[in-house]
Amino acid sequence: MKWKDNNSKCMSDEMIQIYIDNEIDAFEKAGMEKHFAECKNCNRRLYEHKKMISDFKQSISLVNIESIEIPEFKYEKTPVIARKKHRLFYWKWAAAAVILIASSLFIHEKLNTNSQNDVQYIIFDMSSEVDANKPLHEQTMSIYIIDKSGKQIETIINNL
Amino acid sequence: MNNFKDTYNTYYKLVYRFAFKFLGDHDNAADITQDVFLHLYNQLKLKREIYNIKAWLYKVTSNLCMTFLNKNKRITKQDYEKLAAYEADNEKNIEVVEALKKMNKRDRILLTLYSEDISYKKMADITGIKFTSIGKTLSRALKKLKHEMERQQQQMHV
Ligand SMILES: [Zn+2]
Repeated sequence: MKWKDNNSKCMSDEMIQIYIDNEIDAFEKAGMEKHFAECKNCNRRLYEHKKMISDFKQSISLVNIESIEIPEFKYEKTPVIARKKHRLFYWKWAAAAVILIASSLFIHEKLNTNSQNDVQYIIFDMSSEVDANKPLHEQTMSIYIIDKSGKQIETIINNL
Repeated sequence: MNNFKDTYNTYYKLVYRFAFKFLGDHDNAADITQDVFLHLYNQLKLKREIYNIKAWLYKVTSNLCMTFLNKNKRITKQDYEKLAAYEADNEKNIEVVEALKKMNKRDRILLTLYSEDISYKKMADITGIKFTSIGKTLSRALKKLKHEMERQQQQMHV
């Protein structure tokens, strides 16, 4: 028996990954199995790759959140993601309002072009770098438009 | 909305676990989970059909986690120091979760999905990575993660 079949090439990492995850069709699979049986090197790599995957799955399975309590669902209009982390001082809100007015036309256009995506939320967010020593026009505000799948479809970073 | 309540109780932990693996932080995982179900609540209220609830939840959770990271990426030095002090006070996380935090967002979301045994087709749908590139991206991400974990272990023993 030959160690290596000249007709079959050695496997790439990608192929090995796909093989292990069983994301290939039966024909390809048969070809690969034949190669693994014949090629010592690929066989070793298959073994190592399998070990890497099982080590990963094993270690991440240690994440155990079973003990957490399920809180009562509270309906709140604004998502937490839009509220938290940025407790703004009143002057920052004033700055935000100015930037908002200046950019409203822009937002309006964005919303029109995205209307087919079902806009769900718009999040206005003053930069966490907001610095009281900086003049207003150097403050940054980000505007996120979130669609119905929670995906961020537009990010507008505004520097007035 | 009985339907909603059942879904909430059935899948709360699934969403929370996913968000925790991805963000490595209980407070943020709880916030994201609340947002995911708020999103679901709004969809149901609008009478929108959701055909595969589990797949839908994975998708929305992934998207909101990514948005969360984007939103917090410009973090100040003081914030960072406070965060580090806070993290040191708290119990150390599971190694792999800490290593995941060091990866780029794309690899991080992909590996989190992979850990939930999600098919390549769904991973492609959620991440926007081409279906034909999933195997390659995944294989590379796993290697990077392995190296990161080895690096962390070495640091611990210095
Ligand atoms: Zn070979």
